[in-house]
This record gives sequence, structure tokens and C-alpha cells, in this order.
Amino acid sequence: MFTRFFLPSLLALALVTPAFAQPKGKKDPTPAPKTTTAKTTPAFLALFAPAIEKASKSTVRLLVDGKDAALGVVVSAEGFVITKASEIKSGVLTVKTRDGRDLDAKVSLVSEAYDLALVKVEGSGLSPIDWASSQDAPVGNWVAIPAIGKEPVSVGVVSTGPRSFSPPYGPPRVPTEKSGFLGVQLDQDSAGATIYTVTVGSAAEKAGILPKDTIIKVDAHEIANQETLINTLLGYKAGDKVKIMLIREGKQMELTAVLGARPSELLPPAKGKGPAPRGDIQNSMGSVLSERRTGFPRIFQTDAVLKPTDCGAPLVDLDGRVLGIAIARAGRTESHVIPAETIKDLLPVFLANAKAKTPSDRVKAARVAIEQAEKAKVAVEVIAEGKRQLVAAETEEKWWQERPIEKGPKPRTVNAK
Amino acid sequence: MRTRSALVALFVVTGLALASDPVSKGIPAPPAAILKGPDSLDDLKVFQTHTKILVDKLLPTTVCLQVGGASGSGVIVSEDGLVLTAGHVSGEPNKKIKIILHDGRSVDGITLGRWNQIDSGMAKITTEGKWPFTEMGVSKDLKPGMWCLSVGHPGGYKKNRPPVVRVGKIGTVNSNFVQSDCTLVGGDSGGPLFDMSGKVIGIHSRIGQPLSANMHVPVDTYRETWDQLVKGDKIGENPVWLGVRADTDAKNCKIGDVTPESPAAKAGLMAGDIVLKFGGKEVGSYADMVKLLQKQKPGDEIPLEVKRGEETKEMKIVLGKRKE
Repeated sequence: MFTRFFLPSLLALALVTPAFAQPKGKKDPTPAPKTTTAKTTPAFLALFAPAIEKASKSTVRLLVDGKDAALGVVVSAEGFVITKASEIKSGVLTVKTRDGRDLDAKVSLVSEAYDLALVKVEGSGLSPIDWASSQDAPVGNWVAIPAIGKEPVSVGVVSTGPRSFSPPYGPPRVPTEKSGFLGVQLDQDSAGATIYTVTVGSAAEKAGILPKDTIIKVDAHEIANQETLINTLLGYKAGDKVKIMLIREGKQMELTAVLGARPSELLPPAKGKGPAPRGDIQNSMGSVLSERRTGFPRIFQTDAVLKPTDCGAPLVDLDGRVLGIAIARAGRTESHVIPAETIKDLLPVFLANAKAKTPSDRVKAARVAIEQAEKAKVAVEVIAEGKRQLVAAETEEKWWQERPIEKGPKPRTVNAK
Repeated sequence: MRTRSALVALFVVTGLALASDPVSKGIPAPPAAILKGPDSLDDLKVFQTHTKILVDKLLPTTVCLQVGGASGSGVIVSEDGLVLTAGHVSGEPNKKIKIILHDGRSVDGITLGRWNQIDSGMAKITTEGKWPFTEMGVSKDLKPGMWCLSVGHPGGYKKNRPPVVRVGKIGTVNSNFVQSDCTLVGGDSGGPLFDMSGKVIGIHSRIGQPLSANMHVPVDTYRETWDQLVKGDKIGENPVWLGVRADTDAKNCKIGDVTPESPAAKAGLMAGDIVLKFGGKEVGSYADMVKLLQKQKPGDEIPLEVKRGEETKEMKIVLGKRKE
């Protein structure tokens, strides 16, 4: 008799989360209501004005077809700006500076893994930003995100230190009817990709995979956890032959599987149809999330609430030190930031490539950049990015070599897998 | 002789209790920049210096609870590993669970009591050891606008990611919930809301649409129901039955509705009556009365003092048993 009267029913969304990996859904299209929190009052934001002053002079607003699309950071005196690639995909790109100039801009390079674009801005007097290190600000320190005005667009605290993720990187892979299908259920109590059940008649059964096997490698891809296994397998098509390395009763063994087709009932519902996973519903409550918000090689988190169109901005601490680039509004509790030290390592790779004039120059530049990165012992993810840039340049070079007299459009040099 | 040995025993027990202090003991009082401000960039710097102390001390007390296929959060409040969590995280008492410490180590645990109505729950680390723990604060003294720190595992435990920190302010406070603008999401449930002296003041429970609607179970309710939670009781799932409904947000215990033929109806309780005393104890709100009621059994006879209009009436009520 008493129970039902107790909890305020409006607020009764319980906060437990299912542990199993869920397919990533699309964001909720309903606009979020406006709310004020302690950290969004104008008076509080104004406290941070002196901290962001210097960084905001190296920050630009990017517009696509005249509409706010993203923010960007000036990274070289020649007018190169780094920004969030997926927010400026198509349309006429222009840039607005803090001193009020409107300038033309062009995308010169995209890194799909980091969702960063290097943009060349036509104009002089752009001053590059000074990078610090994400390690300068411990968890709990205040941070602010400048745009091109006096006050920051958002403030918050550092919520976690930086962490790296396992490949594959890039936008989440969505299963289609062509996707390869192994036919196993994973054990939710295991940290690794441990098999719980094997579907009768599936590719897994034919290959000899058994419950309690833990998959550690698919072809050359290391499998660290369940999410990596799912994402890696989604990169294959039905009919593909894959080598699967697994641990059975403490012993390592290799099996070969010919992937089957994904049953239609296991395909995600068409866009806008069917319920979104609960985690996504809760994460979409109260703010609009970035379309691309996962698959970055390395990030740290802040609780600063960010608009998707304010991504690409620098993140600074109270001393004005630049800790990284805000790359995504990733959930109700989190915005993600690529650490400054990662950007510092990536920039030589990006800039060498972007400054090269011909495809052959680009191949040479990419090789030199990789060599230098390896010598400087930068993070493996950064070297991997250099290699992806090299593959893209080589593909482009080959395309031109095969068509010496053709004057057609250049092939796509980005999104090389 | 007898007296002396009792004293010695007491001394030994106290000595043990002092063996290890809660992490909150090592945290200095919050500076004025936090209590009254911050009003400047310098205040913010003082603020974050204090926050760093809190984070370093408190993160090790925050855990992830893996209960069946679900993942929630919790906070250690005793050296032997008692963990406060949300009722919808711990669920059924006396179930074996896994508890993941802040650094990723996994230990064994067991679920203890819960109170579904308020969403409080308890668990205990069963692996032998002494665990870093913090103190419980007082939630009824919280005021809107106070700064607070929220920790938990949003989205469930993630490898290589320690508990996630958020900073915000307290909003509404009452005996049923504490609201803050520290954002929460699934997986945070059961995680701690700390005051700026490092004491637990609430446990993450549920959210509403706006970013400012994050609801926490007031820590006072854990203290009030401590013995039952430790014992593994399912509080409120007591079949004891009174047969009334009331507005939970009202400032007094005014009866809204009396179920016909119920124990309350038989005793003569009427809609509009304001209950002043239940079993001889003062009742400030409906929630107060429910707490008192939950300590009784069906068949117990309880004296009530109620106000009807200008009149104060006394009555006796024989508690019934709710049908399943």
C-alpha cells in the first residue's frame, strides 16, 4: 500500500547498466531542454575569462554553408587548423577568427581514426597554439573550452586521466546483411572474449569453436575484449575465411572459420525504427551528443558539457595551458578530449603530408614522418596513423601512375582502411 | 573484578577501531573559496588544490559491483569492507557478487540488505583484508548551492578507466532524496556523492531528463536503517499493513486516503487526520511514520496520536498483514 507513493515517478529512471556489449544506436533526435547547472551560469563562466584569453586567440570558428559547424585550433603559422572532421563533412567551409575576420578554408587531410581534419585557412596572421600536456592537470582540476569570444563556451573538471583503446578505430561498425557472422554468444562474466554458447549450424560450430574458448586473435587483429571481437568481426563479410587464435584449457590453438551470413532478426532496426539501447537513451538525456563519439585511439574525459558544434576546440586549465582538443560530446556525464601530447606527436605526420605538393612527395613525406616518429618513440597509435596516411598516399600515387594522361578527379585519399 | 575485565575488553575493541582511520580523516576542512565562492580565478585554483586531495583519498573507496549480468557502483564505509550502494544494484540479499576496486583488482563480495522504496542497498567485501574507507556525512544538513563531488562507473566498469569524477552543486534536499547537478548515467547507480570534506552524503540512484536532475539516496537513511541493512533485511518488504496513503512531499503526516476494512480504518483513522505520534514517537512526515512502521510486525498493537481539526485524539491500531 505504501510503496507506490514513495518514489517521485518522474525521476524514477534507475541507473544500473547491463554489462553486455550493445550495438551502438543513433542519437535521440529530440532536442534537449535548456537547463542551468552550477557550471553553466554566465557569472561562473566569466571567472575563466583570463585563463582562456591566450588560447582563444589561436581558436577559430568553422562554418559550413554559413552555419556553425565546429571549432578549430591553429597549429601552424602557414594557417593550418585542426578540427573535428565529422562535423565538417560537406558544404562550403569558412572560418571566423577572434579578431572578426571571415576567411576561406579547405580540408587538406583527414584522420578517420582520430576524427581530426587538417584545414588550410587562406589568410595571414594566424598564431599557432602552444601545446602543454594532459598530465599537467590532475583529475579534479578545472578546465575550460574557449571559442572566439571572451568567455569560454563550457567549463568543467578533468574526470579521468588519458587512456588508450584497442583497434579497430574509426566510426562504429554497424552490422548489415552482408556482414560476416560467427555465431557465438559471449560470456558476460569474462573480461575477455570468452565463448558462452555456440549457435547450432553456425560458422563457429563448423570451425570447431567450443564454449569456454577465449578468442585472442582474428587474423592479425589482437582481441583484447568482447567489444574488440565484435567490432573486428564486423569488418568482415559473409564468406570470408578468418584465422581464429584461441585459448582452450590453457593451451593456445588456431582454427579457421568461414563466416556465415547474419540472420535478419539480428540486424539493427532501420534508421528511426525500433527502440534505442537503454544506455543510449540515458546518455542522450539532457544534452545533444556528437554523431561520432567512439573509436578514438586515446582520450581523457571531462564533465564539461559541450555542444557537438563546439568540438574541435582546445581545452585549457586555469593557467591557460592547452591540455588537448575536445573531440566529442560522448554521453550525459562525459566529453572526450584527445590529449595534447598525442596531438603534438600527430602534427608532424599531418603537416608533412599536407604540405607535400604531389602524390609522390606525399609518399616520401609520409615515410620520413613515420621514420621520425619511430625514432622519437611516439605512441604506437600515432605510428599506426602515419602508416594509414602512407597507405592512402601510396594508393593515390598508384592511381595516378596507372592513369598518366587522365585529368579526372583525384581519388579519395582519406578513409584508407 | 568483573567490571575491570569489561573495561579491558572495551579498551581492546576501541584499540582495534583506531587501528585504521577513514580516508576522510586526512582531508583538511574545505577552504572559504569552496564554502563561499569561488569568486575569482585564484579561488578556483584553491578549489582545485582541495579537489585533488579529495580525489586522491576518495577514489580508492569507490568500487564497481558486478551483480549477475549488471554493473553498478558503490563506496566502502568500513575497514572490513561494508559497501553502500543502491537497492536496485544490490538486489536480492545474500547473493555472491564480484567487486572491482578502483585499480581494477577484483574481490569477492556478498549482497546485504536493501530498502526498495528509498533505493538504498548494502554489500560487503568477503575477501579477507583491510579496505580504504570513508565516513558517512549528514545529508539532512545539506543546503542548496553547496559544492559536491560525484564518483562512479558511468556505463559500467571499463578496463583502464578508474572511477570517473564530476563536480557540481547540491539542489533540492529532503528525507527521500538529494538532488545535484553532478551528471549521472547507467552504471553510476550506487556510487557515492561526497561533500567537500570527503564524507559520503548520498548514493546515486536515478536521473531525470535535464542535466540538473540527478538523484541520490540521502546517506542519513543508511544510518537510520543500518542494522537491518547489515542483517540483510528487505526493508519495506515487510508484510506489515496499515492501509493508508499520503503525500510524501508534505511537511506533516497528513493522511490522504484510508483503505476500507484496513487496520487503519478499523482503528478509526480518517482522511485528513494528521498523525503526531506513532507508538509514542513523534512523527514529522509520512516518511517518518513509514520508517517507524517498518520496524513493526503484523499483529503488533500501536498507540497513535492524531490531530483531527482542532482536536487531538488517541487511538490503538492492530497492524495487519499485506496480501502478496
